[in-house]
Amino acid sequence: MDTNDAIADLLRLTGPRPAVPAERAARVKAAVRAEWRAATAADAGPRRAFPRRFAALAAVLLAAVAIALLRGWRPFPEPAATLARVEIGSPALPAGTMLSSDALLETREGDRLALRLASGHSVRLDAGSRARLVSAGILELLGGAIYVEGAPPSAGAAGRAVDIRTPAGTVQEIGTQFEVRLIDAAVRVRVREGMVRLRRTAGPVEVKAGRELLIGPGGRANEAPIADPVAAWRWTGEVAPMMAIDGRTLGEFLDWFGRERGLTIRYADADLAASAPGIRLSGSIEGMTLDEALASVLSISGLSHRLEGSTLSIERPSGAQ
Amino acid sequence: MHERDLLLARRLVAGEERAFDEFFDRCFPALFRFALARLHQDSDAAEEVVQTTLVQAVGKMGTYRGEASLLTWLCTFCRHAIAAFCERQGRLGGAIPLVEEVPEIRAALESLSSLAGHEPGAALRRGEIARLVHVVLDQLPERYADVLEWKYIDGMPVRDIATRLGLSPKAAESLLTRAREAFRDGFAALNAV
Repeated sequence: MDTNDAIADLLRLTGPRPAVPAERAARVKAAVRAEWRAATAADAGPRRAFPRRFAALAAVLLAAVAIALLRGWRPFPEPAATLARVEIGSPALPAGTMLSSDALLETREGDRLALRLASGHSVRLDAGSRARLVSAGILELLGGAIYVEGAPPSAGAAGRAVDIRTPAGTVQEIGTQFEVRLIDAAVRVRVREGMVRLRRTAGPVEVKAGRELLIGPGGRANEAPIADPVAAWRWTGEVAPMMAIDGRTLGEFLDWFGRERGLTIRYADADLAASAPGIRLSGSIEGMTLDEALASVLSISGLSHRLEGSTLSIERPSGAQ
Repeated sequence: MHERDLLLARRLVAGEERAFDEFFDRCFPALFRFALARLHQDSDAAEEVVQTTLVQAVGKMGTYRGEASLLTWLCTFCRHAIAAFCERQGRLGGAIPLVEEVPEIRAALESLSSLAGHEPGAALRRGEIARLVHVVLDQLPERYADVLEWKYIDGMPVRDIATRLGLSPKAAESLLTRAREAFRDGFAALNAV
């Protein structure tokens, strides 16, 4: 038998290389493509007007850099892509700080942190928490609690998801709002809206809205309804970045408020339901709490509200019929 | 110097969408199999590790210089990602002894430039042979693995391979010859350990 026959026999015997499941490939491809686009966009950066009087100096500098590059010297480190911006800061990470990969996020007791990812997701850290920003779509929870709120459809971030890595596995968002908390050696996942999937060695577990999953140190999973939803989500509302309301409608504001508070919005009557959502807002609610913002916006709109369980009822003030 | 890979990397840095598809479709399956073999065949773990690897790699694509093949360069990232994953999960997965981890073998797979004259043997267990064959195929230059699989596994005639690749039958036969030689080199190098 010559070598070519042996190669043919060997290949026939072993068969084709195992194919990678298309679903996995598509999932990873979408995530990596998003990161690649973010990286290339950041490298391109904004273009600024360049004063003509610096042109000669720039030519000299360019020539010097060209010579240096030809000699194999790299004058500047690779630019790091900006992956997130701090919206509500802490003493260590003030508002407006731009974050790149491997950034360590840390809050002490009494601090909280809110970030906006490039994808539009809102990410919040409770007091006494630590996490690492691995990439635009991946965070690693090292202690405390993290909350993720998916980008609204208008943000154009369809197809992007945020993964939270924990010692018990990776919590994968499926268009939702959820919290992951490390409690000693256990991991707890609470889902407010939509669904999340925990990928782990023992097999994936899915958690739906209104439920929580506790993974113990031995990997044992225990799922149950969230006992007190209002209390469970209170801290996330306290660190919610305020919506920029100028030029937006009351309907948009109430949708946002309802998402932040986990409330269903209901109008007192059909006339109000038809007219109120279109009221155009102006001004700012920056620096207010959620409750203050609601009271302020409804006041300038000539309306009031009433809370009944998890329903926020929008009404006309008494005597204003 | 891996000119084709270097060109692909430059197109990626320039933001060319077709380059991304080419990069992903070429590298992902091999990288996934690479990770899977080192993570006790845990597909979820391999998916996570490979995603981490590729995310890191596309962010650093500007540093790739073509000194090793793109796949070898990615495997370097992947080894770190596997180690970090195993540490985070408290696993020992990264310690699986795999013969192609030996530096000399990696170098031999990398070059694949001269004939070793060593007939592929059947001394190893069937499963391990299959895995090693697939490792060699994954490491071959572009198209080589495809034409070998089309010809010897699918039984595709050379003229059909030529049509599929837009080559003349003579060029397809030449490509197949080079693919066989490259495969023989790679496999001989593995068996010599």
